[in-house]
Amino acid sequence: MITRISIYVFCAGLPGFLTGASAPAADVPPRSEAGQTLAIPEEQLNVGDVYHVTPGEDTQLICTSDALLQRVAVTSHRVIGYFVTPFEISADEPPLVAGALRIPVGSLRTGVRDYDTVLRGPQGLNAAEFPEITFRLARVSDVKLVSDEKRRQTYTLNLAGELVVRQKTLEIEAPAELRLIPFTWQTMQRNVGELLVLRTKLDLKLADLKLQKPPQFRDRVADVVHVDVCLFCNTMSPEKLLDPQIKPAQHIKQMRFLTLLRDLNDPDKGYEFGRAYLREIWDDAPALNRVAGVLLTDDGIETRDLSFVLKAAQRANELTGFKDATFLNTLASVYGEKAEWETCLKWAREATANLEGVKAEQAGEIRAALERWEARARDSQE
Amino acid sequence: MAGRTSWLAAAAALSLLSAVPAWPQWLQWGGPHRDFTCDSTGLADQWPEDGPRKIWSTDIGPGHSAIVTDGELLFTMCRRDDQDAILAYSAATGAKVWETRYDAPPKPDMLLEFGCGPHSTPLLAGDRLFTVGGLVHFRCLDKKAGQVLWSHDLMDEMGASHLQRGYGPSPITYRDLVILNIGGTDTGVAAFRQDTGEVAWKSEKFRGGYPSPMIVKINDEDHLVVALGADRIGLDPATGQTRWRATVDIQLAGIMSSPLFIPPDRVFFSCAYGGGSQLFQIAFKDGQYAAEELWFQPKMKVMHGDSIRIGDFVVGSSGDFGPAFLIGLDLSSGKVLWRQRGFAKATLLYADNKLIILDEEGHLALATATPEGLQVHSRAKVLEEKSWTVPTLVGTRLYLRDNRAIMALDLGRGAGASGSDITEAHR
Repeated sequence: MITRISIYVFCAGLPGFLTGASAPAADVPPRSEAGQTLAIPEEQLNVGDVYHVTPGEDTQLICTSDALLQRVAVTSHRVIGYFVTPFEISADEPPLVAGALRIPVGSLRTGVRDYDTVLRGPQGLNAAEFPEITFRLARVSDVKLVSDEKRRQTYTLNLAGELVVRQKTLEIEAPAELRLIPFTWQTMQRNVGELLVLRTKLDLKLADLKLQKPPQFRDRVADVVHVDVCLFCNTMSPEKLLDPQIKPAQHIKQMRFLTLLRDLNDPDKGYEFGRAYLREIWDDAPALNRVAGVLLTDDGIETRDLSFVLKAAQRANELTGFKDATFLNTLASVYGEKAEWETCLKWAREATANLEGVKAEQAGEIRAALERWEARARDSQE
Repeated sequence: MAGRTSWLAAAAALSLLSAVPAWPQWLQWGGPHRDFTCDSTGLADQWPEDGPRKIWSTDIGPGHSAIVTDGELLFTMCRRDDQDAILAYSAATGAKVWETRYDAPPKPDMLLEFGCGPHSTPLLAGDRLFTVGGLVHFRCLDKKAGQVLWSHDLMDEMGASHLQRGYGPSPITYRDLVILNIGGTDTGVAAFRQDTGEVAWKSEKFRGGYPSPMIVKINDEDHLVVALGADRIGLDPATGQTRWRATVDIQLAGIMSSPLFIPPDRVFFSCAYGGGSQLFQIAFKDGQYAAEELWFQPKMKVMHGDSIRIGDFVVGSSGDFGPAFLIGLDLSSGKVLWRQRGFAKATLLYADNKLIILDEEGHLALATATPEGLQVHSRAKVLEEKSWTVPTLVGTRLYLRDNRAIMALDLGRGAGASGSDITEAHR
């Protein structure tokens, strides 16, 4: 019951970051094939510069319920979407002319697994039926240019738009701060591309979402949820392929796999897609190793199917005769995650025995991995 | 005396005739005018849906060196494992005529996820071919046989910079000299005797840089214009003495695109990585040259492609890691006249009032650019691999390459019909 009440709070809080009412969810463009951007309408592409929301590293949403007897925060790192600024920003028009967001319900986390389950379940936001919360920017008002230095501009403004949660459309409005940061050698340390940062905070009443608190949890869930939004956006799409060794079609499919598995947190659809993709790349060792590697290391994946990972890693090594240090290191890691220490150490040592031709930095990582596995194997015995 | 004079005149005329190329050529980076325009005519107004007629294509290997040609032979470079390869192909058939290789193992401090080049484009001068590899191995070869006549290892000899991703700028001739960027620890730019390879001059020290130098006439004097890091420089190409120098914002130090001369005295530079485009006027006052910035436009950022001047405006493919717009920029004000999506990062050629666009995904397009906008007439996917190399247009024949293949296309009217191709017509 405790969890159930919390869920209602979160349901309310997530949507809350922009308030408004009445646009159908269809107004928010669908995800791209890879799933990390939205299919932006042509007419919006032609009116300005597009900044894609950059998911993954930032805590983009923090929704806090601070009640008398309990304080809970829900976060998401997997918000995607875009904002469009005019090509030439003038005093006569707002610095934002379009925008839309998709917030995967499966990406919302409290830090408590049971709470998450209820939050995303049928009693909560019902991810199975309504996998995403959406927002479409409708208008911008009260724009003030606060600072303009070295082409870095900061505006305060009011955002208004339509938020759709469980097919319910709400009109929301909130004050916001918009920063436009040109690409510099300093910003490049974070992201290559021009940056846009949108921050807003607002309070959202549960009653506005027509969500009822069970009476017995009246004091454990706040009536008003505080919503804190920070979206880093970039003119470089998060789907941009920078590694020339990767085939574009494989890049798209691997991203789609991750979108299903990690962002939408849908292991059934994710692994179904993954198995089909594995069949496609069955004779491509680097592609198999990439899939295995990302499934092992991506923090956002809640359901890690190690037999799936092992299949990919094993095949990558079979194709290369168990002689590629990088692929062997991945294979060792799979066995390490499975706590099968003997096999893990066997392949980790084999990896270090095949370092000829491997770049020094990478060779160092492989040696360090062996040391880590050895330590963990020792710890497990103790 | 009169008889002798006329005999001499006739001999001189004959000698000139033999020196004048019998068919169109593309001897250097940027073509005849080093600005990616040429005087070709007879280009088709539209192409078939699947693109212009392919005359031949053949595998070549990785590398981004552009193609130069004397009309008979095509020259370019590619990479073979840890070696640079200099290649000559028959322009008519695409058959390889010769290949010369030399060892050029990468240095540990290089960034090689995009390969080790070669990026620099060979240079033809008479019977000599000059090349520079990614590790700054500078060579002069006999163009007919590929025999090396002289060579320099400029990292060893002058502390030249490999620019992390492999040396990229393309050399240029001036009188009996061949001039190239050096960068690194010793000198900014150096000139060598074409016949012996002897060093003729070294400039003061500048940082290395990717833009290829060009030679222009300002105030009736020759200026070697080069962009090296944050320096925009004019040198006397005969001596290497600095005529003028402007140091720009450090954000513009990542310049890769070649400068563009706007006669009589303006020079256009464009830079990606958060940079922009600038127009400088080179003024001569009180016996000294000075570069004065006329305008700066942050919205046009050409990465490693080229810019084309068409009348009073410039067209370039603007963008680095984000979207690449084709942008038209007004030269007098620096204002963006138009921008168009639809192409990945692209290189451009201009001939016969037509813009030829090749984007990095291998789409080739034919367009008309005016101050009002860009009209694309035809577009086709012609290359499969990363296509960063600006094509070469000789007559109506377009030579192009990606990271794997080299090919010849016929852009002429009625392509495929007899006589539509200048080279074939000549033969």
